[in-house]
Amino acid sequence: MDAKCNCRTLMKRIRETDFAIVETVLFLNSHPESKEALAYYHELKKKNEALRAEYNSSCGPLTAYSNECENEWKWVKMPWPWELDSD
Amino acid sequence: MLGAYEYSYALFFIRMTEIYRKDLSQVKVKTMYDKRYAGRGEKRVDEEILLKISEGRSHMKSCDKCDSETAFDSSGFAVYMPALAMVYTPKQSFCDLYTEERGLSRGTIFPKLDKPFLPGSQKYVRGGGCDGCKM
Repeated sequence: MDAKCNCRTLMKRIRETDFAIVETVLFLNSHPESKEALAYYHELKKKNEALRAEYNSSCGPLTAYSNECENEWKWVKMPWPWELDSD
Repeated sequence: MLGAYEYSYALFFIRMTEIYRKDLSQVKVKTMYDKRYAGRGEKRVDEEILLKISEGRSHMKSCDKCDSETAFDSSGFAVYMPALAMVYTPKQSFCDLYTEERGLSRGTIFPKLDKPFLPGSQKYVRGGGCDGCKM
């Protein structure tokens, strides 16, 4: 149960940082000179990459392209959407 | 001396602005005045309108992180009357963001863009003139 909770928390954090990156990118598109926005963008990117790496190593591949295991194709062995517990 | 047409158009604009809650707070007042109205007759019209709405209610406020200065009235709207029939986009500052968690749940990381729809709210509907003109 602990591992599942951890994966759910990680997924939630990944979604949050993904969204914040999208918002920052939109702001930067219209304000390309903003140093604060650029710094925040890099900070978010680092956080996002670290979270994704942690998810991939402890919960399984996040996307089909992030399958790190060389011996097996874990992607189909992850729970399918209808197999996830409802929150 | 303001013509009735110019004055009523300006009031219409002010009412529409209030009703749709356009956040003009990042507009740089002095810069836009200088660029747009230098040497043109319209300046006098805008100044008179400005005086009417800002009489006794405006104050200068600056964002600590962004160093921008704008004049606000008591409702939080910028005290500025742009030229008639011109469209502009206010300058947005990158400060005081929501946390990532709150940003995702509110649909934006910018508190000033967090404008929930409140159906049936009577707060911004006024019958008659606005506060600034006392008509």
